[in-house]
Amino acid sequence: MPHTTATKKDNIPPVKKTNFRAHSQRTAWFLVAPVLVGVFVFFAVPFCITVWYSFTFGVGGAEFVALANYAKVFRSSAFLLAARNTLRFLGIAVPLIMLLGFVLALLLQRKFAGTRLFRSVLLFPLVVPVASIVMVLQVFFATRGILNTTLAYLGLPVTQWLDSPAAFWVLVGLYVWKNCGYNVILMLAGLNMIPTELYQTADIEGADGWQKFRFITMPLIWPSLFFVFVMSVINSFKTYREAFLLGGKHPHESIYMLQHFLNNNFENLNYQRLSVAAILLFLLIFALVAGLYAVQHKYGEAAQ
Amino acid sequence: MGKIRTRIGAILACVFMVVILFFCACGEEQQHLQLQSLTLCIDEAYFGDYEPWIQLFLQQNKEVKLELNKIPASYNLQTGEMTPARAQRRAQAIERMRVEIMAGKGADVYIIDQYGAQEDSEALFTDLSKTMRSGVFADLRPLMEQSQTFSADDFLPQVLAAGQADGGQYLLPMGYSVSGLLVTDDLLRDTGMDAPQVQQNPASFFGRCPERWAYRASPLVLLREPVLNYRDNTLGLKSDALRALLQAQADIEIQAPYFFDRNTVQTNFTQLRLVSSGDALEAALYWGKSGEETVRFLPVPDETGGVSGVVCSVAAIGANSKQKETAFALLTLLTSEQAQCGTTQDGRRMWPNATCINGLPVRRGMIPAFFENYVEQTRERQNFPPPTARCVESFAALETRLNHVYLCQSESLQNDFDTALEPYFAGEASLDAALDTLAVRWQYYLEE
Repeated sequence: MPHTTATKKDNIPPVKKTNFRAHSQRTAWFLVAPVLVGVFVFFAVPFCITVWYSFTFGVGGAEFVALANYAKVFRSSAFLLAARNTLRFLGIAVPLIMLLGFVLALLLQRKFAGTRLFRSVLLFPLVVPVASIVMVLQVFFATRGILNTTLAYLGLPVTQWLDSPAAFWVLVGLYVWKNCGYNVILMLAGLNMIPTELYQTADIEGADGWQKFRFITMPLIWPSLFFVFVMSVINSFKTYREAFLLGGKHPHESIYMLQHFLNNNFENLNYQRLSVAAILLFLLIFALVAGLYAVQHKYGEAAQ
Repeated sequence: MGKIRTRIGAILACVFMVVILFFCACGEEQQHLQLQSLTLCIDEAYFGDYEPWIQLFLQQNKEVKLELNKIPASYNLQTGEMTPARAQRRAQAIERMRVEIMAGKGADVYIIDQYGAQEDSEALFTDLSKTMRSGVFADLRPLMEQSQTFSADDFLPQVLAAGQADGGQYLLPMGYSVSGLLVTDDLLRDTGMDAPQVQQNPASFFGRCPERWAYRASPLVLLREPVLNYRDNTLGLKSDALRALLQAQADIEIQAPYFFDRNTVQTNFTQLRLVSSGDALEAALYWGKSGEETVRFLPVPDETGGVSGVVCSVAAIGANSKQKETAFALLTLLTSEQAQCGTTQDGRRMWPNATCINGLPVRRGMIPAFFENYVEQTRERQNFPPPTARCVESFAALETRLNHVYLCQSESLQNDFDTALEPYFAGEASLDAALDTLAVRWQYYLEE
């Protein structure tokens, strides 16, 4: 019998597995090719050029100067100020918006009157153009603006809100106000995806609120939190627009960000510094996101 | 078989691309060999002023083909009307040019008139002092040394120094101006400004005419010691000269518009007004017309009793230019005696197209000839009497007192300065507090 089976097998024409796989691969490459070409032409090539520029002096990569540009940038107090401010903003604004967003999401998960309206209201800041928001802020925080007038009326000391260290907190407030609603919606979606059966089982087993939050909500909301965190970090690097509208190209030193440094060097046609700063910014974001992915990977596995 | 076909196809595609690239490069090279193509970047608003000289250059150099890369004006050149659409067009063009420069595809020659950018419009080079240190422009020194027709000794060294950085000459100034008063003997006597010490010290100078005078002069370009030192990235905000000047200016009552008001200058001989030397030149003629015979120019002194000026127009060659010699030939013509004075050329009258637009010639000893030509051309138009020799002498004497010449400061720096000092001038803040605010901001501006 074994012999017969073997004969039958031999008679069956072999399936061309390799051809099918090759065909699939070709199709996949064909489909992904436009994206790859786009990434190559619009990202990889300019990035490589930028790396090359960062080691040269003059336009068009005229003269190789090794690490001299990096040394100059690291000696520049403007760059150090910008880097410090960016990291400070990142360290304060991102945890703040995460915490606030999460608390609001947990509150909104509970059904109460006006939940839908509140959810819609949270998205309003995303719809309003930044320029108009900043204009309102300027009217509010100007030297003789609404806030200072009110403070003066109450006999309290007034301050230059946009031209003092207070400008940093105005920017943090603006960032939180603008992006918080988006974060809440994402976190809320994550919370709603957690099966209610898990909570019901926990209730039967006698778990209290904290235990349910610690052992059900947190592990299952983690992927959503991670995504929101990454988005918040990326958005925090985009606050240049707000800072620029608040204080111009050279705002108060507390809100002078890396993007100011980049943009001003572009205007002054100092491409060497621009390239160095762009690469350092890329490395910073890359390290942050890679670190976050590593943490997520580790924490995700532990939760499973 | 299929694999072989694919490989052959890939190889053929690569060969095809290489051949195309080769022919493109060859075509470009051949074009360069046949005609010397020179790209000139210039503000549209000021092109007309330089056009006769550019045409002359092309007549003298038939093998040169000129490509114009004009920066669109943000206002209508006929009506002066400024619209957002025009401003946007200008901003977009400037953005494109910056990217081209970044890619090493910038122009061969840049003619940069700092007055080309109005207050609310963008400039291609926002701060020339920074740009010339970033490798965008070619060092002109080797070209100056090689040239048979150009001699640096013919130029005022203080003016040439304004275009130098890190041991190189990156900008060639074409005109400079000095701030000062147009005065008569009576006015000098009445205000007490005839005292020698008043004319040797900026604080005393400003202190003598608090009520008569129009606007505050910017200390950024008045003092000999620079407030912003780009070479060492240091600030001179704590200097005694600056403090004295600002304290003297704090009492000035602003009575007139910031800019030169031709109608007022024409008719009003009782008030002292600060004007730039270019405007003073014209005003001197108006005053001469009125029969004033003691009119002369009194420059604002710096802290050492000398005079500081501001470069108002410069020319530069792109660092990546392949036509540097030809480009320098154009610069040589633009700074030649005839171009600086706007003299008659080949039967054509070139005035008012002197290349020191709004300013004085950068060549040594040219002011009398420049003045004479200016008067000659202006008299033809408006029948003015010539200004007295004393008046001309007062302008010519500027050269001997010239200590330091600055590149025109960017609008944003001036705005920073005005904003920071506003509380001090309004009596709401101390001078120290105002200067400290400025010091923090400018320190990181310098080190950017």
